[in-house]
Amino acid sequence: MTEGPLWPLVRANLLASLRNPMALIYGWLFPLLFLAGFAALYGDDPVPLALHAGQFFTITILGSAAFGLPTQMVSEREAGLWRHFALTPAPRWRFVVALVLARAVLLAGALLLQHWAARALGMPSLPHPVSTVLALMAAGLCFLCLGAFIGNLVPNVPAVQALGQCIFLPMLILGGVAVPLASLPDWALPFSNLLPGRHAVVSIQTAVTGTGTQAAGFELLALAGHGLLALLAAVLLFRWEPAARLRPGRRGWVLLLLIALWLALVAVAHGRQRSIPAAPDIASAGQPADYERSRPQTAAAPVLASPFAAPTAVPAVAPPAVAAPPVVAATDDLAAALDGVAFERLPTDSGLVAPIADSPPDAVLESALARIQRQLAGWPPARSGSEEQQVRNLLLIAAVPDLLQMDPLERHLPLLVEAQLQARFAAPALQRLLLAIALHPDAGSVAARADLPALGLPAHAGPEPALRGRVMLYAFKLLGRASGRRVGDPSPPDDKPEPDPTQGE
Amino acid sequence: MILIEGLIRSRDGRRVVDDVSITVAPGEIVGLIGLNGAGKTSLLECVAGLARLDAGRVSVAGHPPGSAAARRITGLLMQQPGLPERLRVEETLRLFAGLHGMVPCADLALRLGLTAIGQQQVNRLSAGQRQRLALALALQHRPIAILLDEPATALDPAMRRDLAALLAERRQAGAAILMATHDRDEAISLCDRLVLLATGRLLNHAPGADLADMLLAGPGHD
Repeated sequence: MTEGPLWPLVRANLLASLRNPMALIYGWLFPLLFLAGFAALYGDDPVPLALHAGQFFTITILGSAAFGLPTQMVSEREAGLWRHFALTPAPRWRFVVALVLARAVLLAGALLLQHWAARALGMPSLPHPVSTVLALMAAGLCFLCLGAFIGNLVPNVPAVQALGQCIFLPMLILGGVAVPLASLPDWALPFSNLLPGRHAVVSIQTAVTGTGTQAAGFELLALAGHGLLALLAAVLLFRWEPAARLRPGRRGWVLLLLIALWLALVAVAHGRQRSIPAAPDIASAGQPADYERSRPQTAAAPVLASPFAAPTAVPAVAPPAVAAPPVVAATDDLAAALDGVAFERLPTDSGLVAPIADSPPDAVLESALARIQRQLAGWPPARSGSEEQQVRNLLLIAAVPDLLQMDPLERHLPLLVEAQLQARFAAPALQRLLLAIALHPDAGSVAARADLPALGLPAHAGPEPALRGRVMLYAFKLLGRASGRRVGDPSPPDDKPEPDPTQGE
Repeated sequence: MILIEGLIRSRDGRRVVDDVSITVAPGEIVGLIGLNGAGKTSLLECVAGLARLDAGRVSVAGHPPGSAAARRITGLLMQQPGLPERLRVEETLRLFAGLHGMVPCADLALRLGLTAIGQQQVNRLSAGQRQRLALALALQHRPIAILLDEPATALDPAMRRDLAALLAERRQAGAAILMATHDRDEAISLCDRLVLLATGRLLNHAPGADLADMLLAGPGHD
């Protein structure tokens, strides 16, 4: 009994790679070294490693696809190994697919090792493991098909390096892989649609810190499209011999069709270019004293700073060395205490820091929010400890996604938290609790941040001060809403004269 | 079985096979003899479908070279076979047999001395062992058109005798065998006919030792 037609080729390729020490070093060890360097560079950065997962996973995939697979193909072809395969009845598409699949298995091993290493370095567990695997598979297969196309195109190993760099570097710089798209000038953004790098980063990042597969549907389709087109082109132009010319011959029209389809895909991606989420804002939320009406707004107010700025960049304004104690206190006179809060100084609801949605969620978000609400019913931190601690724990549900820039989910979670709080606490008591938390952000525990995966949200493993700052801001904001002092963003001044009520129709 | 008519093959602007016509009937062994650069390897590559013809016609049992049907019935032993270095001998045999939709031929592996080294990786084999493995790959799917490029290279005398016996059996079974060789004794003892190539052209073909002696004695002989 003979084996299936594809498996013997996949198995042979896999065995050959697993027995090749250099293949394992480049394929498995290098991504780990890269991750270690990444963690060392950004070790002191408040942005969690999870926020860069899309990038470092994509770079691993790119390395295997742009260099690993094409180098293997070209060296085997140059060594004459493929002549034996050319003498068998196996069709060339089967051979190409086997190469891609075998390399995909190796890549899966590399990504798994990298994930474990990232977890060891503090990255929280994956909130959507299935979505993450799906995104990684889609990106991996897409890029490997591209690698098969490269491997077929170039005549020798030095040319692999040259063409690989021509694809690798633009994708790193212009494709949103190493440089966030939000940091690119507008003229460079259309170029990012030419290659699948940005789709890979978005789909993986959405799975790791977002709402999962549904929110990255187009990106996954785009990856599938790019991959399929590259694979078809690789099979069409496949050659067994190094000296054979790239001649599609009678199938040249198919090649033209593939190019047309690729251009169409690029055009669709350009047309659908989703608003690029801004670089994560890890600005200091300030101190409670910054929101006291009796004190003028100081230079210690929140300052936006991008973690992707040059390492030597410094914030425009340094936070005060010693936090001034709040004047407003949670006294028995709640109304007086609320009068002392400068709600208008809080960041806008439509901004990047502590946002709150002002429109209903779409169907995808609604589904995600409903799931979180269901799981919240059995979430232990919502009912453990003092009432203040319970409220603080619930505020983490809004604060962590805000820090991780889980747009657009982060804008709707505060409303979910608000509804929970209103359902569980009477209005005056809730306002006192929120005020206490807002005025004393360093009090209490934020350990429940590690329990967020039970709600399908990523845990937070970054520095506490940033997290407590967001908890403080949301406490202030929900206090403003609960007390009616601030619901939504303040309206801009209206310059139009008011209509004269004495005028008739 | 193997029909070559007016074959022309050029490389880098030079004709490496120049208007060669040869027929190999079933149950016949035809030897290609000639000095280095005569075009023997290029001719075999064209018949196997590894190289493109510039002109002429080649068919293997009525099938064009390189077609799926031709590949099923053709076996080629290359002069410098590239083998999967990281696979074991047994894995290599199983892989290529599987690609032909067959199981490895244990008897053939035994006769070629491959069973004893089945668990060795290909990159650890000696030149002679590699040649035997390449021979097994060429023959294990029982092709009816067999193309051999210097089959006795690196083989010890005992294995050469085994090879001769093996080819005789295949000939007896009706295979058409086209073999390029530098070895006089091999050419005379194995081949029914000899074809003399020089600078890509067919100079003469005839049975017997005279032709072999004429060429293999050295340059300058007509």
